[in-house]
Amino acid sequence: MQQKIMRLIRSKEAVLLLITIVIFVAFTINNDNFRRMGNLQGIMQTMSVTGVMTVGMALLFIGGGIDLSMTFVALFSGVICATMIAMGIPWPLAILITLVLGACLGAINAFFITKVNVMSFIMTIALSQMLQGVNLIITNAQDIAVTVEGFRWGARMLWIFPIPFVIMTLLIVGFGLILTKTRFGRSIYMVGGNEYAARLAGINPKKVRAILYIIAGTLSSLAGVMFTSRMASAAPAAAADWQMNAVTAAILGGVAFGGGSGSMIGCLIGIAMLNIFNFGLTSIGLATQWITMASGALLLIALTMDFLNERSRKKSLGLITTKKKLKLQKGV
Amino acid sequence: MKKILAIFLALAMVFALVACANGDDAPPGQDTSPAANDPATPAARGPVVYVGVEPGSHIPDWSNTIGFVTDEVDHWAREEYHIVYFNFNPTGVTGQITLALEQLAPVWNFRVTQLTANNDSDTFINNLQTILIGEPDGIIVDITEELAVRTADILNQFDVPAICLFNMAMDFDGNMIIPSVVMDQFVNGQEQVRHLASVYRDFWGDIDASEIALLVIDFSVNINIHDRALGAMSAFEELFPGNRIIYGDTAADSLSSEAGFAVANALLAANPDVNYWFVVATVEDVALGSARAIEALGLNDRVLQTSSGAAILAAQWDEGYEGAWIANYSIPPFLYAGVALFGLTAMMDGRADMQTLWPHMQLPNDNAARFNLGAGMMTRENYIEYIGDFMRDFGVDPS
Repeated sequence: MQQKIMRLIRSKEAVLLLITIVIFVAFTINNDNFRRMGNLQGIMQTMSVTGVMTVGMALLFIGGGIDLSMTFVALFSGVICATMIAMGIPWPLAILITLVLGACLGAINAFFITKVNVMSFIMTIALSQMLQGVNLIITNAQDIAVTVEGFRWGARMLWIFPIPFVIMTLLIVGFGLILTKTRFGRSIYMVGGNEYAARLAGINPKKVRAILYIIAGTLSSLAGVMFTSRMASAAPAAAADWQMNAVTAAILGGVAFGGGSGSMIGCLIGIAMLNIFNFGLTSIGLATQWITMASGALLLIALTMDFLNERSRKKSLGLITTKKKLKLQKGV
Repeated sequence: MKKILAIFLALAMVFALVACANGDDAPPGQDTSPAANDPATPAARGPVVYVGVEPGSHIPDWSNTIGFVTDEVDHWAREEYHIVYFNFNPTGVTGQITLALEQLAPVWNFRVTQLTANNDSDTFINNLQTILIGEPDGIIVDITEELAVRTADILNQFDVPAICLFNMAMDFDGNMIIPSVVMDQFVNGQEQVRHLASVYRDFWGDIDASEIALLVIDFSVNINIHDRALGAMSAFEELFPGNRIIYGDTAADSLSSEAGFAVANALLAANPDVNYWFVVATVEDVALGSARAIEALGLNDRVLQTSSGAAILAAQWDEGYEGAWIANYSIPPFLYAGVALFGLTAMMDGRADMQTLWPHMQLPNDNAARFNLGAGMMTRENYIEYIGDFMRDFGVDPS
């Protein structure tokens, strides 16, 4: 038991949580209102959309993939969902159709990446640009307002938690369990960590990655629907940096950019850290140029942590030979 | 080792940032943007031509003045003109301008092609040359100010009549080089605050005016939008001397509803001691996010918000919206498109050129006119009539 607690304390996630708490306390010391419920609910609202995407991005990273079409899949999904509701289709059905559409977009990515062997970042950028164009064609760059009362669930609370936050948390718990408790979850780690070994173990890496792209497409679509519901409006350019925030949050949360390691709880902490950081900087009145610089610094820290993690992992696997070992091998 | 390094880096960064904030005596959210202390802003603006402020005066009497809708030229006595509308970045406003031009086309005997550079300066310059090789009769360009000089060079080389929309096309000395139809951004900000000041008692009754604070949500990297924020703050200081002004900026993120939500939520929640808020969100997309943050914080009855534009708020009202976002300073797309069209037509007809069009709107060192449009506030009560009147004025049936 004591060992378990020690392991928990020394885990990557515990360190991340500590850093997040330090950041939160620092902002609260600066402005006591930072810990007010309204502010916390705002942070939870904002982190939900990116959070759902981070789940998809993290799964792909762990499995050795990347999806740079997430923002535009989300925006496209929002536009399609809003258009269907404006046409009179009941909103639950419109959401369902939109999620299926998101899965189809993920399947298009999966097909070209796994079957045609197009590089993942090129394929997803291509899809992203296509969707950007389609969005503009459909909307003529105009917003589509959706104020159907039932559809506004994205702005409502479940007790003190915004509904999108609850959805994001459920997804993180669900995919966390899938990653750690199921055969499919373990196969994702294997495919991302060592594709060759995974193949030898009887896993089909292409199939695993295809499933991950479909999941990522569906989650992006869900994020777009959540955002549209919260804003009561869909726009072809409602946000710019969702997927970059998802990348930052996933890496901050300890997910290896090169694949093979990471956890959902780490992602949750990464998303929280990123949003607390951004809200905090805004609320203390820091000038824009400082906020931009600080966001870059945060990404740099995340990447440095990722690099150190990766090096440590490779060292433990004997993939990196230290100078000391070399000397020993040479008998010096 | 790696954990210690990570903690060290994060702590160093956080404390440095907190120290930065503490070092500044400004209250949370006060204007610390790079442009805020720049004495050169707002830029020299020239006279403002108010259109449509008073009911029934949407088109001033400019009969027989070259380059206006009322210049009494028979537009059907000539061949159909081909006009290109080339914008730097497709947005809601450019989409509306395109729609307006398409609706004006069959009325005023021209056809329009819309093209975009997708927010890329190189693409803009390259495509501009390609477009001009195709010899359109005239071109309406929507440029950033940085592209003005290069754009003017290319236009002169091809000798195609052109008009700029939204941003002033000035040389490095601040003199106009291409006729530009623009909005007076400083006045825009001022008018928004003046409107809020004129109506707040209708919503809040006889409150103590010293309890009102202003939240401005800027996009400081765009000097035109920043001028709106400066105008709003200047009018507020004049009308409510000594009251608090909180400054927010979405420049670290984007001009989007998500950015507006985050900034508004953080700053409204960080100042719970403010009893009444005026919120001026400089762009509609940002205002939409801000309106949602106001709702999420339960502040609808203590906040009055305005913005600038004619699309998103109108669409929200069409769907039954009745929140804190009560009005927009609005130059409808038909006004922008119509004024540009008639100036361009005069040049395509040969009745004027880029140097002689609208000469009374040139400042002493200018080589081209700056048509500074001023308009009025669009409210829930007047918006259908307000937009419709401009369409009718330019010969388009609103129905």
